[in-house]
Parts: sequence; structure tokens; C-alpha cells
Amino acid sequence: MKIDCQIDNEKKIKVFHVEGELDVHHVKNLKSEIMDSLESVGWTYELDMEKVGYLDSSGLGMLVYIKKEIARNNGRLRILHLNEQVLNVFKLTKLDEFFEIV
Amino acid sequence: MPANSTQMKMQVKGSSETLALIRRVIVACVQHLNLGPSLLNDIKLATTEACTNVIKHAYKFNESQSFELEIRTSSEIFIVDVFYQDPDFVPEKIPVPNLKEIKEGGLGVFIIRNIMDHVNYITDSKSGRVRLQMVKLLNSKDSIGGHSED
Repeated sequence: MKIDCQIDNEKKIKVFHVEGELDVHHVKNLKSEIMDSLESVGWTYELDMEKVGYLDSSGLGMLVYIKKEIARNNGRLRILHLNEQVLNVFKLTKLDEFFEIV
Repeated sequence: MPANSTQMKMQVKGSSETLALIRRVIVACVQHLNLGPSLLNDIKLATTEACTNVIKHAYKFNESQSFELEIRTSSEIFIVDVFYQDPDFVPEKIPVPNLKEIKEGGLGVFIIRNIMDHVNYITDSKSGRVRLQMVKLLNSKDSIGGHSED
């Protein structure tokens, strides 16, 4: 799993470009990367998942956790560029209604 | 066995590291069938969810344990059996998630049951051995992959 982060301090946006497969083995890396970068108040976090070819319930669970933690800091999580198969997993579990998917 | 059939049996270390390998084995087993991306993802997803449950819940990430995976496939059907040890497992006690309550876990079996055509747990209380069989019909009209419960 590869994760690159771009930070725009002026706009208070952090964009994480994620590459790989989000199963139980890999979720810890992404979770700790984002949790370690959480700012105190009012930031937007974008997960660019264009290069994520696989996601399962472990990945969804991690994203639910992260969104709740970001919301506790009055932040916002946006998920970008899901491929059709990965988006289907969100839809199957109705989590497409919980996340802001762009 | 019908034409275009493949059979594969493997013993897998109870480590989450093996999950990516299992998905690649599945792709290799069905490569000649030219399945669409959604159908292929359903098969990979259900198998990974099942193996994740073994590693996480039955073996509690104890990598010294192992489980068996058996795949049989033809142009009409994909069957995967997962054999593992879990003396405490009672299939009837698997909770059904309430999708209106957003939680971080408990979706694995729900996903399996929604994307596979047949899912069956067989337990042997004496030996503690569990067999989970999952079947996907490859030519069914509904087998387009990734359908939700609308």
C-alpha cells in the first residue's frame, strides 16, 4: 500500500492519494497515516482512491472510524474517484449515503 | 468435471498477509472464463471476507494456525469451500447488521450473503471443524455483480 499526502495549509485541505488494496492487512497503515495527521479544528481531508483496486468490510470499517474521528474535530472527509467495483461495496452496505463521495 | 473446469486446494497460513495472494489465486482460477469485473470482484470479495473472519475472529490473528481453501469452478459455477477450526462458532448467532446504525464492523457475513447465490455453514461440534461453502452462479441473470438489497 502506498500513501502520498499533499497539504494546503491556506485552504486547510489534506489530500491522501492511496494506492493498493484495502483489506484487513493494509487498513492499519492508512488509518495511522490519517490519524497521525489530524489537525485540531476544521480541516478537510480528501481520500483520492483512484488507484485503490479492492476494498472490503475492513476497509469500510476503517473509513467509518476515520470519518467519525474527523467529525469530532469539526472536520470533513471526502472520498474521491472510486472505481465501480469499490463503489458497489459502499452501495451494498448503504455506506454511500453516509460518506461524501465525489 | 465439465469443460473449462478448474479445481484447486490450498492450505493457507492464518495470516492477513495471505489475503492478497488468495485473491490472485482466484483470478488465476477463473482467468479463462472471461468474467466481467463486477462478477470477479464479488468472488474475490466474498472469499476475502470469509478468510478475514477466520483469521480475525476464529484464529484471532494467531499465525501458527492454518485453514484450507478449495475452489472448484466451471463456466457455469464458482464454488469455494473454507475449512477451519472454531469450536465456539454457532452460525445462527451471527448478528444481522442494522444498516441504519453506522458501525465499524460486522458487515463481512452480510456482504457474503448478499453477493453469493448460496452460503452454507456446516459445523462439527465434536471436532470444532467448520466448513463454509459459498456458491456463485456465473450464468444467472442476477449474476451481474455487486447488487444491493434495494
